[in-house]
Amino acid sequence: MSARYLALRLAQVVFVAFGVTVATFGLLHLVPGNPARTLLGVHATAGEVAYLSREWGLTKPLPVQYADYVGRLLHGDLGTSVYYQAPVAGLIGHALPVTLSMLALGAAFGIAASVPLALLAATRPGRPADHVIRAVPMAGLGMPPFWVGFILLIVFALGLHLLPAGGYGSTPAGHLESLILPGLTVAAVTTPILVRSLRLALIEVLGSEFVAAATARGLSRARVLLRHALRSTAVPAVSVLAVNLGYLLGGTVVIENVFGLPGVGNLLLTGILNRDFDVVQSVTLVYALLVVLINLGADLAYAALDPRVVLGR
Amino acid sequence: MTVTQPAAGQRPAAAGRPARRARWLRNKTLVAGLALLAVIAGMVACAPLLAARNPDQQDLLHVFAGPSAAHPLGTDDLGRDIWARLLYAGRADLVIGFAAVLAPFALGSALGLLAGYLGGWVDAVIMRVLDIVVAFPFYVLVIAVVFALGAGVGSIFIAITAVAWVSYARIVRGEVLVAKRLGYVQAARAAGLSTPRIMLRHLAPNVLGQAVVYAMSDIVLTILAVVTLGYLGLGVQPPAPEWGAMMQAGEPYLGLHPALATAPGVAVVLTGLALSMIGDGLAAEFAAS
Repeated sequence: MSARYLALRLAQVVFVAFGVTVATFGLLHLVPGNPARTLLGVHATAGEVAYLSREWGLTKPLPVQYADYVGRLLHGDLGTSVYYQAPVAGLIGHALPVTLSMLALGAAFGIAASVPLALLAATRPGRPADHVIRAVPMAGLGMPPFWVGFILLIVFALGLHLLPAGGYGSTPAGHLESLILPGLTVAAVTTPILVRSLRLALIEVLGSEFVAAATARGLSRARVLLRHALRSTAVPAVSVLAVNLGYLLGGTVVIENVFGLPGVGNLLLTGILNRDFDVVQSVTLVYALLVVLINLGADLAYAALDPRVVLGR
Repeated sequence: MTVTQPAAGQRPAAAGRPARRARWLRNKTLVAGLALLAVIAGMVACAPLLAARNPDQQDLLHVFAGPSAAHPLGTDDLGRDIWARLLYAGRADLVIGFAAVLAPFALGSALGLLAGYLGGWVDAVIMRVLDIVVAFPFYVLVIAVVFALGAGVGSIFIAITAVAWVSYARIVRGEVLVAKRLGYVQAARAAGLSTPRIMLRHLAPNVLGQAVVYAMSDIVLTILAVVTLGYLGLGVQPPAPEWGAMMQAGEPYLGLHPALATAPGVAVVLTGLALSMIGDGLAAEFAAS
């Protein structure tokens, strides 16, 4: 990885992060009318609205307001929730681990389901098993994640009473138990995407010379598949997850809502419901920064692993 | 997949147009997807004929009724006919979903064309804005924009357009970068044609194919987004029937009356399956030609 690549990539991240703050700042100003009036309601007097507007700095020119906003962000101040009467940074700090655990568990479930399916399909291309497995993504992509959540809730929580129907428990074991169904729902979204790309990657690898060489050396079929072929599909699998990260992260908003998980997605939705501007603005910002940073991490890892990677499209 | 494949060599004399028509007919995925979509669209279009009841008519004496001759899928928490609501809801979702793909397609293709052909600062500005938009998770930005504009169908259009144009811009820009080195564009330029004329009359017809194929698969995600926003209460407002809003309304009764929330989901899954098959079939068709 060259120093030039690193410098360019970091400059890009700084620019995008700057642009993201402009976008989240602009979001508040897209709202028709005065946010102070919106919060206080139609019965508030003009004096009350004027007071809150001054308090929020809404009477200053826009560039000054933006500079104030970025200044507060740089000090770690993400605003104050009017609804919870608490700093937004603390609320997000509590909610983020829930969302990330759900996502990690979902990715693990997704990989555990996709690898055997992709292996089965790729080793029998054109056979009935392959056709059935290739149909999975087509049916899966059209499923609303929250509908999958409903089905899981009906079967495992309300029907079989195996797992909690919602909430987050109070102990680490309870947390894990509460994350299983949401994790499976996330997996239902990731599996179609993963199976499709893993199958293609595996078919290509199975036709390559090093697999033929391993087979010629007399290694067993299972060993060739698991030790040689599968390992070389890890990078494409991870990159597929990284590319779809934005879609997956966005999907967690709805999934958290179905299972009543106290993650960032639910924070965003309750913020919208209560017209809690600082919460909506900061959660949106945190989601975007999360995507930017994870993508940066993935890119740097590839660049470190593969000298052929260069910046630019 | 019930479509049978014509036996090889059955049409020996056929040439030209009939042969081309036969080729896409042999694409089983495409044909099955089109057939399924035709059935769904037909049922939705003929909703007044297929459902005897008014979808909004409440019958508080017969709430949560099971399936019967009068109510094929039973009634909901307000005694409304689920079957009728399902059909009328499909009208909203299909129309909004298809319409909401057109605007990002047009905007993204236009920006991609400009960025790719003009290059320079136009390209730089468009691509940097694109970088910022893709930093946001799709649903987070859509939800935030709908919040800022207020819930409703108009806001859904604007929000989806503001977020979804990026894929089209990327695809078209990539195609233009390749095409503008080709002979026909160079020739048009050498002949002194104006830049707008080259872009619209010469480049556009040649570079939009991939974007059209992508649009077909994008419709699935767009309809899902419309349904999801409806479920979150940000889309089509009740009591108007819409699949997502129906699922939200049925959610409290998941345990005792699961049909309320799951039946609209089945409709979404079938629609998504039909559109995915069409998208896959078209992509294969496009790759083959």
